[in-house]
Amino acid sequence: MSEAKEIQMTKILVDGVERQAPLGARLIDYLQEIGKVIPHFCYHPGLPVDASCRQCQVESQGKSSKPGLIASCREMIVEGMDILTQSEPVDVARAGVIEFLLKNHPLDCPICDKAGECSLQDNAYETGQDQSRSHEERHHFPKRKDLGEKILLDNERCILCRRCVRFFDHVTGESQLKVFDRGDRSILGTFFDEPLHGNYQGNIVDLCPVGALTLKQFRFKSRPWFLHPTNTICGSCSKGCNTIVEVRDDKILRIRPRYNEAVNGYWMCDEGRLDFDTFNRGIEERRIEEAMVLGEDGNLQRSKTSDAVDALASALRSAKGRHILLLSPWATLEEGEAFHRAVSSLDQNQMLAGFYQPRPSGKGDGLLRTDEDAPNCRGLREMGLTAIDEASLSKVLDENLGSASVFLTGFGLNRLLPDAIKLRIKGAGQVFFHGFGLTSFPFARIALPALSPMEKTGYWVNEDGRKQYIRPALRAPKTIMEDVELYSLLHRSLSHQKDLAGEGAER
Amino acid sequence: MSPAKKASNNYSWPTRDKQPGHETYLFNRVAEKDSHLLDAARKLGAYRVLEESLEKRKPEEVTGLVKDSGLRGRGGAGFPCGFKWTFMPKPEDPRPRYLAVNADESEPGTCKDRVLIREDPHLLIEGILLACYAMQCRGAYIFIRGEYKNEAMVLQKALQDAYEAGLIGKDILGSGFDCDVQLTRGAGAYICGEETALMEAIEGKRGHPRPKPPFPAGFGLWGQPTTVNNIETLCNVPFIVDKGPDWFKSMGTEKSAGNVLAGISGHVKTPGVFEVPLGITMRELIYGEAYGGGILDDKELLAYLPGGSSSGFLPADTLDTPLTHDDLKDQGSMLGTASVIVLNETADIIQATRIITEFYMDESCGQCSQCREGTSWLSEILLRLEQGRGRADDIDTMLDLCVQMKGKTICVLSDAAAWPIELAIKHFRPAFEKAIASSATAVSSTASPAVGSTEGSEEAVR
Repeated sequence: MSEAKEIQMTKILVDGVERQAPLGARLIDYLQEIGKVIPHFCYHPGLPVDASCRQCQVESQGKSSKPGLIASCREMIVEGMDILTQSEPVDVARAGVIEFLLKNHPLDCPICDKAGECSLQDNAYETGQDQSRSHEERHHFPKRKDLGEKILLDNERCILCRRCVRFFDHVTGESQLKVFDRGDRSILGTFFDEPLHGNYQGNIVDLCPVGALTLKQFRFKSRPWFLHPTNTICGSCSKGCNTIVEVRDDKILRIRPRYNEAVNGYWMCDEGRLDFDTFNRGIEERRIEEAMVLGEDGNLQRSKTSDAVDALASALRSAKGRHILLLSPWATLEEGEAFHRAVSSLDQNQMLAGFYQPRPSGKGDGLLRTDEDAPNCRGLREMGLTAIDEASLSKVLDENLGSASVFLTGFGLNRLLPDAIKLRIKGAGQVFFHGFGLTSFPFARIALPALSPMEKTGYWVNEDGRKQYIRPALRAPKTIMEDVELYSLLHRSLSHQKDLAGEGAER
Repeated sequence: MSPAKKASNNYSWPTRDKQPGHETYLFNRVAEKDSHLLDAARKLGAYRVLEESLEKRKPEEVTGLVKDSGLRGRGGAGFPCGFKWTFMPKPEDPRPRYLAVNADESEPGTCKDRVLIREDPHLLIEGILLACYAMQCRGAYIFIRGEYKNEAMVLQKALQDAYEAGLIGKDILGSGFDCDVQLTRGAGAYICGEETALMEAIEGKRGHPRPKPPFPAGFGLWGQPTTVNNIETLCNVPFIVDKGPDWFKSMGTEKSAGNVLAGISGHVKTPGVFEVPLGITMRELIYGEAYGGGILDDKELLAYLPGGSSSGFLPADTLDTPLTHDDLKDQGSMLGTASVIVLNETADIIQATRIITEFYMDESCGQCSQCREGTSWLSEILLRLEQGRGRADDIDTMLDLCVQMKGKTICVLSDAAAWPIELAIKHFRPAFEKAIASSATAVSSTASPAVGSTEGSEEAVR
């Protein structure tokens, strides 16, 4: 908690134990904080309270809005509370809610993507009802209702907690989903059956406590318990949303937001969530997995990475024209530092070295997505690296047409550099490439493999100056040298050749 | 002249041409010609009490009079009206405050407010203005149920006339008191009669009850302090202010003072709305010449609902229960809206219960799990019983579902759906047992299907 707001504590009883609780705090939050299990469906800390599922009821014996069973999501802590989280009325009420919710539930857990992380499933196991008392026919609602490009809705599974409705109403501010009709005919849908739109739809899938809303991208891909989660940071823009990347068999299958009050709260945008195919090897870009050097026959040929770096160093050292050394803004602080050290041994007068500063994309929406399409511009800038924008880059390239040596380095330049720049780079004297895929730069004389942000560790500094640590969710191919290591190798190689050159001059 | 014979009005039902043997006040003007028009109503004394009160009485005095009279709300819950008014914040509170008038009279069997609105709208407006004056409300919102189209037109005309006569609006009758009254029509949902759903509906949203607390007196219409009162309650106010609490207490019983509008319908000879003093026995109300006039076709009484559909069926041996809040509560029922529905021996209690439950199933707003699923489950069981497909565990299941549905939801619709079933099983259990015994498919509860299968095992095979 960064805010130094004075929190008044008060004495309350929870399950007969006296505790100091923050006055005015939400009861369910406090109870969960002290380790009590309060099952709930409609309550979500990031949304306004609805209090309609009635699953979070606890028994109040002291002061509260009413005696007896109270919905703990509605209740604020007051002095003199006496709460029982486990008692006969509480257990009966909770079991009752589960029985009602299961009465018309299709119970298609075996084919439901949510199984394993479904609140209804967990709570049904908890209350232990393996038999239904209902002899009535289950109500039927549409299944597989298409809600646009990203999401499918199963109305039979829906328990009408309305988290998704409240998400659009209160978080994005544009209502898209509503519950139509009333009573047991209540049905979730969109206005006029229009598809959902916007960049934040994926969040309703995370919010859904059952398998009613499913992500088309993740449908039938994997059982959630087979996924290996890694806590990391999204690099799609400079917001730096905290994420959980879930991997199975070295493939990212799902990215979900991770709660961080100071950055993204509980949410993330669909761009960061769905756009991970690039990182799954070889899907979008033809990845460079081994270092390659232009051979005598005019084709790129495999080489040892250290040899390729040496070749790069000597090429840079011996080139006569202007040097343009461009680092990707996806680079971590550590890589920025190493890059800076490496290039500092070159002649500063004929060199333009720095990181590429993408122009504002216009995709910023004031919610989470920012205008800057890369994660670490601020960090690299504050570190002292020169920000090279589109205009200055094209100017330098134009001035040194046919004579410049261009070294592009780091993941992300392929996607960030506009086509006009790529065309100009083609016209440069010689191009050396260190990156993820060669798609845009097949004319490079030396191609070195780089790690993707899903494979490395390091720090990024987001738009607001918050330094955040990224962790590898995927294993990199063994042939790929870490970027930092590559830069230090380059540094050593350049310095060595400088020394040699110096010795030669003295002689 | 009774309203039944009024030439100007086609809606004569349900008031009747019979003289009761006790003092009446609510219906006195109703019986007169053109009572719904401003001029006629003023000649008959409308707005006199308002005029006097604005001149002579302080707001607190009006509240005090209503509080002392012991007037209890006539909308169903029977909450002391004056006491409710005192929940409003102190006059120093700068927030605007509102009165919400509940004219969403949707309880099956109830049509008392309808008569008042249609025949004496100016009594209602006077009551509203007095209440607003007492609580210093800046405005009042009347929420009238969508089906009351004619009543809404009459009331709209009355409001317009009153505005033009300077009785509503700025500086009422030169007293410096400002109050606006606005009429909002519903769209046909029973739940909008629940006070918080009513406020949501007035705000233009979907009529979903809000969780309480916060209570309306602290956070009501548009988040401001609000009091919600029923039409009939407000119509009592001018008389109490005029004649005093002692006069009011002289009618009715100690804890349930005053007259009440009792609607009688179903298998009686003369259905209608009657003004009766509280404390009259149910027998008198149903069999009395001035009221129900006895059972239709001189058959035996099977059961009756004393106060609207949610009050539950009471059997004939409870006919000597006085019509008061507390006595009916002791019977496990409630006074509710004092709308009596009578069934004679030809009726089927299971069918009647099913019809009532289906009403609640249809009208549940669908927010809370218990209410949404419970009401439909109960009506499905009752329908099965009615069709002779009962099961041995049906009664136990229904009673258990009722327990699950009571006191656990945001509003009391769920409770209201459970009460009639509990009472029906309590008083008419043999009828339910007979229906189960004669069911062809009656099986013991141990043979219930597993969770995984949709229906019974034999159907699942198919």
